[in-house]
Amino acid sequence: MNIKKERKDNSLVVFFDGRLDAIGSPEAEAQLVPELTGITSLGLDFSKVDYVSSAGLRLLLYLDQIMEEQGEMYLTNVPEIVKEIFDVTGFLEYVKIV
Amino acid sequence: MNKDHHWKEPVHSLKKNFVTDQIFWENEVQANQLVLHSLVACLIVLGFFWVFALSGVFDIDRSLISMFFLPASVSLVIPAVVCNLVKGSKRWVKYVMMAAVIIAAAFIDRVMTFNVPLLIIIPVVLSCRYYSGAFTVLTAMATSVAFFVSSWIGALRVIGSPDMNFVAESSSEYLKNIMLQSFLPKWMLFLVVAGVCFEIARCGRNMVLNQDKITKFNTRVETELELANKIQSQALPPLGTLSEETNQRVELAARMIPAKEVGGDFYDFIELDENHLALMIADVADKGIAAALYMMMAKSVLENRLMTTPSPAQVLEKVNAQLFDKKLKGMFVTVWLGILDMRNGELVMASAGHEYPALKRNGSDSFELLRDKHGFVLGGLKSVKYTESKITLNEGDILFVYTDGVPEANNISQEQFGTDRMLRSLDSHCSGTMNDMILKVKEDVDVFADEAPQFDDTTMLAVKILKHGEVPEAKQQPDGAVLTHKHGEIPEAEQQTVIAKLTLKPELPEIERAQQWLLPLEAHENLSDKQCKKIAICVDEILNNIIQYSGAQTIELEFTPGPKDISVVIRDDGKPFNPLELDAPDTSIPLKQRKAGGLGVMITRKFMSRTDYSYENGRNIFAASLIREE
Repeated sequence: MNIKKERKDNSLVVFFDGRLDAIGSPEAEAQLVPELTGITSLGLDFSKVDYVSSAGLRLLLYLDQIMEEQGEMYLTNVPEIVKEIFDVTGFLEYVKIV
Repeated sequence: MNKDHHWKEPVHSLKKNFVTDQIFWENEVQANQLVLHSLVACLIVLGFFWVFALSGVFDIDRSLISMFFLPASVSLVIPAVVCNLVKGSKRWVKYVMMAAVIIAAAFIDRVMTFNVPLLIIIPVVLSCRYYSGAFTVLTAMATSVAFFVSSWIGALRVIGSPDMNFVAESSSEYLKNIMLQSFLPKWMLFLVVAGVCFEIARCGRNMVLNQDKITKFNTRVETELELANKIQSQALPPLGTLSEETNQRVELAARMIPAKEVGGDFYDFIELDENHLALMIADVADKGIAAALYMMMAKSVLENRLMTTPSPAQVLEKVNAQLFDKKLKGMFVTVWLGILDMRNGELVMASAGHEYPALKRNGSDSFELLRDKHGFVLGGLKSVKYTESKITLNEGDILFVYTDGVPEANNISQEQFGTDRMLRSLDSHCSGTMNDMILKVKEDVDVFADEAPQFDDTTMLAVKILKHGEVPEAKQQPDGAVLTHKHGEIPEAEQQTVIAKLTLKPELPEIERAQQWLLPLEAHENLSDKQCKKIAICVDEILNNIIQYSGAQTIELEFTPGPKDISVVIRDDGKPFNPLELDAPDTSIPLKQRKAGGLGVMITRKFMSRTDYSYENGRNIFAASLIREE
């Protein structure tokens, strides 16, 4: 899991590259969570995400819970297969995709 | 009734009066015994005096010796004999004995005028043992009079020894000097001693009253604890009340042995409906009354919740919040909760920091610990999530749950019984009834603990599956495409030709190896990118579950392309677990209120055309297939 981060003031955009699975998600979590202090806008770019497993969904849920308290979170460039995963798991209604 | 007992407390109820009199009467009998012994001691001393006087060691006029020693001895002997005859159990005994001591002392005082200054305090010192201020005052007055008379008689030189200090004086001076120089200072010091004795008597009285209060309190507490113990054991469900249908399908046995009169452990079993049996065992931190009260509260909260919420994890979550709200700092309870479907032996369970259950499979020789997922104890943290695990109990399987009183029983050398000894004990006793097994395990624990006292509450619950109820019809899943397999059915995928097989170790990086292994196989079958990803997700989720939770040693992955569909079959030798029977998470509730569990399986089910599970020959077999695109 490669992660690229672009930070501007209080907004952060994260570019995932790889799979948000049982291995990739904990790596992503370890890299991301410490950076979130003071962030009011978190963007997650999924253009290079092959697929999201339940471990990835857990990470999204966790990030969403953190951002709930300090600002907003949105997802961009979500591929069809990932959207389908969001759809069947009910995430689609609750995550903001732009 | 003795008047002395009304000293200081002239008004009290008849009942109290009677009870108080009773206590002081018992005390008086004991005091009589002491005074009687003192009389004998005085007699012996008097005998020595007599011998010393006769042999001239004591400088006493020989003509006076028998005149005073004889009546003194008689005045001691007669009451001693009489009081001994009535065993000191008459009200007049103490007056008679005290009078005897005073008279004897006065006689000796008359003959040994300067040798025995301590003589005067003997009666009053003895009197304080009666714990009655009035009696001590009475004794002091009688002693004063007796010694005054004795001194006066001596000073008039009527009879007895003259005091050698004053013999040279004229008769009028002699009387004045004896009374002023000899009797007065001795009497004043006597008054001090009498005053001290009076205080001692009163303190003694209060002490007896307090002791009585404490004894009564202890008796009351004991009675109440006995009652509490009765109520507590009645709060545990009696085994005889299970329905006939349940008794035909499972054999239950349970026992709670508290370390003190009441305990903090409990077990419970509730027939939720004709097919579902809830089993529960719990251990409240600490023991004794506080733990027992907390236990009763936790038990009713758990039971109530169980009636409305048929999911162990949810029950624990809600009860945890409820118990935490009580704000009882430092109190918590560990709970293991399982719901058994008696139709097919499925057991859904969740644990709030409780000991691992022990499981013996039918055909296996030994019990093994079932290392299910543990959540935090109940009542400790505000909001805790609990994970459910599911196993299938086959006919003849035995599940044993217990509290730490079993493995943590100590012997005298502080060695613990331990789970290994417990498992071996279970192994050797499991052939009989469940009740026998539990009793024998307890016996083994007791033999091990030997002289060491039972330190913690000990509770055990055992359930044996006798037979499964009628197999219910296969459930139709909401999307209509998925069938859940029950025992006995063979997944179709197994009947197809296997063309590729990969063996994996239970490590997370192996998932990546599996994915790489699948790619050329999928390419060969001309699968679309979307279909490849669906298979990849399915394999990822299932392998992830197995690696993280099943305890499997080896995992096999098969790829089987059929004419109409593509199948993957995953076999593992971990603990039996049917992922398809995990309750699908409610996807309609907002994210932040959701827990993430079960999502992986749900994604797999939705993406694959068909998913099957079975457990055979000690292996979980999970099969999923995807219909080929047109």
